[in-house]
Amino acid sequence: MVGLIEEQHADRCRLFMQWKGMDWPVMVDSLNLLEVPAVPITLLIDTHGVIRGVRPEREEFEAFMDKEYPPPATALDSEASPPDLEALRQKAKDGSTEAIGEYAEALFLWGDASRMDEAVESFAKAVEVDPDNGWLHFRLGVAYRKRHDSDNRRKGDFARAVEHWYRALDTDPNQYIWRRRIQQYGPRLDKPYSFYDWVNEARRDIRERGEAPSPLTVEPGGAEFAHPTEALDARRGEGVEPDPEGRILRDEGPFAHLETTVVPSTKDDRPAARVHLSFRPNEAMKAHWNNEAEDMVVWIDPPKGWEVDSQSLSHPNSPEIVETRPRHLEFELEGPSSDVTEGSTLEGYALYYVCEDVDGLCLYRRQDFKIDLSEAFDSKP
Amino acid sequence: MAAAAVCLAGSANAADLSVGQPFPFQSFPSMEAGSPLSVTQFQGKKTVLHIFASW
Repeated sequence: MVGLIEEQHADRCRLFMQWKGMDWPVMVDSLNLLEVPAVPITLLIDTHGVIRGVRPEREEFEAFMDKEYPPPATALDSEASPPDLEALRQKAKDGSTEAIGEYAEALFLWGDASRMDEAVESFAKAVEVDPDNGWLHFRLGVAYRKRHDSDNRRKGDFARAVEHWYRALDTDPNQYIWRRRIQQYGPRLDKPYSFYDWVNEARRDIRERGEAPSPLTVEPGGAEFAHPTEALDARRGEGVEPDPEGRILRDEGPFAHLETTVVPSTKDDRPAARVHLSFRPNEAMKAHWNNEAEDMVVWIDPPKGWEVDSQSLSHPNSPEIVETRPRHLEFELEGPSSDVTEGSTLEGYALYYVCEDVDGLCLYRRQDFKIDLSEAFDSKP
Repeated sequence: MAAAAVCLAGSANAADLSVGQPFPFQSFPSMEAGSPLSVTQFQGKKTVLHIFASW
């Protein structure tokens, strides 16, 4: 038994397999180089490497195990080694989509973390040459998301990943690997199921067995735990606006950088989206959260006609007094109909306690933000 | 026998995963170590390959 996974984060599958006691060698195909339209697919492969069954029934499997297959007329290549990156780099100079794409794929798969910029640039160049190629858009999105999850992230990487996944899906709406990658981060109205709700149960079961759960480099976020719903649980009016008169001083530093990513629904029937907010302490100011004070709160003011699942969000402080981890908050929104996104702007603000180590200041600050919903929904082809 | 429903439009790596076709010899990073792993390493044995995701 051999596995091959079509997943952005391979270590989540490792945890899943540990939980289920699955112990096979597994190949990782985050870029979907096999170009499968959906999973799962089971293949029967004979001793010569030839496919003898696809999604087999029990009888077919038994017949496969009993039968001896002749070798193919031409011996199959049996080499299993990574490609020569330098040779592919030279080849990519010819400017063809295939050569540039192949180099980008090789960098993504076999280059070390320091070469992810080059992988992103190469995929972007291939997209420029062949802008209607959905596979290149999907893979560029995967590369952006991978960089977003690394220490080498650039502001906007996640939003660009979503944009390119949408452009891919626009070329082939029946490609479910692409659709699922968007839905993983999208609104509950668009979810087929919860993507990673099993993670906490798996960890609990593994610990109860006396084992240490396999670590994850990137913890699943709220969207990835969320379950599907048929109607937005609108909560407008709940909670008390924390600074209605705007009396708290603005974070002019800023002490914290805010990155917003809107992930619209892949369905066209109504404008719905999940919004991801990430606040990161400003490294240049040596800023950090002040966890001895109150929790961070975020107030959302949706435009007229729009509903949100929560107007008031909060992020609990960590037990450590000084800490710099990014704070992620998410909420969902829904508009009345698809023709009202034009000119719609969502406004909101965050209130937080933050310190900086340059002058030793600890302050309570407000950061206002605006999200142009028409732009967010327009990026969806 | 079920037919493989595989989209072949796209890159040079497109695989034909239908019965009678050789499985691509291309290497992928292994989940455990990131080292190259290919189905061809299992040649000589019958292999059940499960393509899946944990979600």
